[in-house]
Amino acid sequence: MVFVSAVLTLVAVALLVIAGATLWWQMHAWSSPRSFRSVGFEVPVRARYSFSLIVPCREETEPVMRATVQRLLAQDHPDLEVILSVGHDDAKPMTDGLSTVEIAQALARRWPTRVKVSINHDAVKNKPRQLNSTLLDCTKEIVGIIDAESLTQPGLLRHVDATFQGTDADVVQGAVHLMNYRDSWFSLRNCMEYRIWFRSRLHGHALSGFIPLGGNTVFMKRALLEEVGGWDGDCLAEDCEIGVRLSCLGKKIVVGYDSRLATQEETPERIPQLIKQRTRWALGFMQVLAKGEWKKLPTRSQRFHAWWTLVQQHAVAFSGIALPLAVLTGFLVDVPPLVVLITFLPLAPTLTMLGFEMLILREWSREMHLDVRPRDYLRLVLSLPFYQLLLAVAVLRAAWKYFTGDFAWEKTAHAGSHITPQLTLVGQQEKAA
Amino acid sequence: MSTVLEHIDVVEPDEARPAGPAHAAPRRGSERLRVGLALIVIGVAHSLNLAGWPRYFDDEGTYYSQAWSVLNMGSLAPYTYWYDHPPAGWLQMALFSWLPEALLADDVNSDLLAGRILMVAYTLVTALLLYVLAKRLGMARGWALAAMLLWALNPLVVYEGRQVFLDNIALPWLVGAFVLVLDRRRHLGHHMAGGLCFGVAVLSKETVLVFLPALLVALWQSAYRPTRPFAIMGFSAVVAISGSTYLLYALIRDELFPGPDHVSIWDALAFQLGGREGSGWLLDPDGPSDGAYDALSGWLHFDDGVLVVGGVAAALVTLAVRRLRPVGIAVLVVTLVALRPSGYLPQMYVVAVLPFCALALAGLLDVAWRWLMRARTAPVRVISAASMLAALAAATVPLADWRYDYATAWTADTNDVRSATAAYVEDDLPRDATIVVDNTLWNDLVDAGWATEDVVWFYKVDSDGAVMEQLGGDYLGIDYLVWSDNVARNAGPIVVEAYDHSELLRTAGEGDARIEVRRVLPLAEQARIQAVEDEAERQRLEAFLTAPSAEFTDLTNGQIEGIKVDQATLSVPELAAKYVTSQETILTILDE
Repeated sequence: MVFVSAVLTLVAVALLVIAGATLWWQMHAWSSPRSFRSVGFEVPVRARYSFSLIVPCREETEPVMRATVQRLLAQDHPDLEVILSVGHDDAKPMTDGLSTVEIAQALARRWPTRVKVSINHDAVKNKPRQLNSTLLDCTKEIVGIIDAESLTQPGLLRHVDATFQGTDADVVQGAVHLMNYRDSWFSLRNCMEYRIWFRSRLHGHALSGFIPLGGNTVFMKRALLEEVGGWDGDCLAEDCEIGVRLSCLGKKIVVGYDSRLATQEETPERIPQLIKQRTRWALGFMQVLAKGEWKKLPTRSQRFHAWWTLVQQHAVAFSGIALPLAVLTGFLVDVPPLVVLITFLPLAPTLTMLGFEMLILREWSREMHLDVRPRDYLRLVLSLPFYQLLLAVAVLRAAWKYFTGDFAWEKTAHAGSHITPQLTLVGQQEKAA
Repeated sequence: MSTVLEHIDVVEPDEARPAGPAHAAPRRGSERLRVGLALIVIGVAHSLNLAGWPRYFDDEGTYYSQAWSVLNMGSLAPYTYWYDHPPAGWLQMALFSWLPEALLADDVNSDLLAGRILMVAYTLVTALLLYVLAKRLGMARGWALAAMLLWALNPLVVYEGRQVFLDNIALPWLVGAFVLVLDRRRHLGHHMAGGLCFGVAVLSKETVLVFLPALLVALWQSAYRPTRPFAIMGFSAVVAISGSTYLLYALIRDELFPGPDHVSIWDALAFQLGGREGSGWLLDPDGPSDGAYDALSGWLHFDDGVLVVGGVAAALVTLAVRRLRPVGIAVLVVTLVALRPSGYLPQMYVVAVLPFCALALAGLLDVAWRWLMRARTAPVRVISAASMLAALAAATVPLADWRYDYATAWTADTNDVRSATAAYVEDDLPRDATIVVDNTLWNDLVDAGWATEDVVWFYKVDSDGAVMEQLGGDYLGIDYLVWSDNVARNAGPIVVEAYDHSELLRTAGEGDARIEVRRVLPLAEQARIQAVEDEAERQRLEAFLTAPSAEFTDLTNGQIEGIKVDQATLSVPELAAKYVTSQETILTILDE
């Protein structure tokens, strides 16, 4: 019994630290007036930079690709090119018997001066390899990555341009929002994750001196990319990996957020796709951790933050499994009341976060003019344990793959359910203007 | 290096601009000096004659013995813990009490002194936090210092603050919660820490829950508007979670709801909220003795109405001043709760609100001072400042009698009878005897070598099933009884029965300070004594009957009784013949 008590106490304290630290990071933006306000883009001025926007595509349908390209071309920026990055083997018929390559070529013919196609001929295909070969075809000063299934907001590029000018940044990370919050039981949770990440957490990471970059709506100076040799072609989290290397070089990474300018994406449609996506991220983070570039960060605090950021999602997955088990053991096994109380402690930050999440949902729905109802709040609460379980499964799966050396790229399919995008207020205003 | 974009408007509007470095440092230094000196004065005023005054009180012993029990018995109380109060107060005492215990010499008059030393420490922390809170409420340094001294040097605070009360333990947490909630940087972490402090305060003494509305108003006022819901949510979540640990503890022990053969939090709440004998209305002089009116009289006896009446009056006015409004609400909510017509109102109820009364008074003076200082010309300012200070000085004249209160506090030994009794018990009574005492003696006797179950708090004899079982169900399980005014007023039937079947061994003290040590008589001894008494009675009666009557010298008392009995069967001449006396005498006896 003493042994059980000791183990329970240790596990509970570990869980408390994990949950507490997660709460602390997630709440960064809302923690003080200063951090609440310091998350925006610079105010647009005269455009100065030119943009190459890479759209990595793999087995995409024509409507998805066309919508993405159209929205990019609609950007009110004078100097941009869109490069559709495809693989030479991507021959699967997607729309009207046309393959992704053929669709891309058709789009390039439609806008010959502004849309290009870059074909990757590597034997092994994945996103970083496609990006690397496409980088060679880029001609402009700044390279931006826009995922095929995402819809950019009007005005984004002007704000990014202004931010490069105003802050002397080397990298500008924009925000991505998932919008189809009612499509499945877990989609709302997924949407909230993105909102919290881009509205709050990422800014906290920026202050700590280490940012795991995202793979969408991220803009980097082309010269810098060429200098560091592009992306790591074997890494499943190439975006995070390049962020680590740039942080180590002391490059200035700026995070800009404005819900009206956030690129809109969709949540995975079904559970297997979500799990595949999360497995890929987790596996990628494990690769980045193992690669050890983060150890080159200059200060101890930065290295600690980097380490914590890379292991944090594994820790969260661990708590998703361990917390209910610990509480249950505490109740069923005959241990002293104090030990049972301690096993309940990690629930405190978890429940507090749940309370905050409801407020975050409220704030988000107001900013984006969404019609969030009481049942959505209910779903947010009820789905928490099951969503945690999914994340835990994904991380376990990733760990399995990691130890068996299976680093194949599992891509998630997109249905384009948000193809009628909910134009946000600024979007409409700027389009009208 | 990574960075985050910042808008230009990040300057905190209410963040005090830092004073110029040239004079900031010395100014802070002199502020520290003044606050430090004030704390020394408070510390001295509270610790002089700490063991002698006031008289050790039953409750002090209860809380102290519970802290002792946590450390030495691994349980929340020496008896069945029945959720009378949440345990955070004496858990803290258990955490800290080893320090004064280690410092104290062996010949102190009670173990409770260690607890009282802790109370002085808590009072000092509260005083310091009160100063910080006064500044957070926008008061000038001088008035903040005044608030601190007004509270800590009030004779009522000296009286209550010295005693080992849970309220004194809850106070720094309560005041600290206000300080954190009014954080200048308005950081969510501080607001949540404020919730945690308040949670600890409530778990130390549940009655401070009445300060929740005031705290929420303070939080509402101080929070940054766009993130206000987050501040409220964070604070409330932490408070709720802290509170629910108490319920969870009961749930784990299966003591949440009532059931046969076990205590429950439900029963305890029902008792505290409704089952307790009411104390009457606060302002009703005809209320029960030791009730609310008596409590109020006791407060006014020490305070002369400065904080208790003046603070409440000031609180009404502070409602009109935005920055002081939380203080006003705190005082008024506590007052309204005290003014409810029935219910239980203990004497220490006043402890938690006194700092806020002091804040309300000093806050109003601060407002008045600022108003006077707005005058255009220097002479007007000087004159108004002088008249305000003169008025304040005049207002303190009636308080000259406080010097007698201080003199008592610093010199009177009101515990001499108790310590002499303790010494007698320790010297003369066997260590294996079961002694029923009031809790002021519990720790000393356990320390002197009695087993914890052999020293029994009188209150538990009639209320704790386990103790009753241990004593065998009636008073005969008790060997000795230390009987004091407090025991006499609160004893249950078994203890009263023990008293009725006991002999006095020692008595000392007068009036309500009188303490008796009594031995409870075993049945055999009672029978022996009864037999001796019966024999004495028989002999007395026999002597009476054989003695000659005072009125009729030729007859014995026995013969006269015989005549009265025999008159039913014999005539007067026959009686005269039988008792060898005259018929006249017989007639006189029968006429009587």
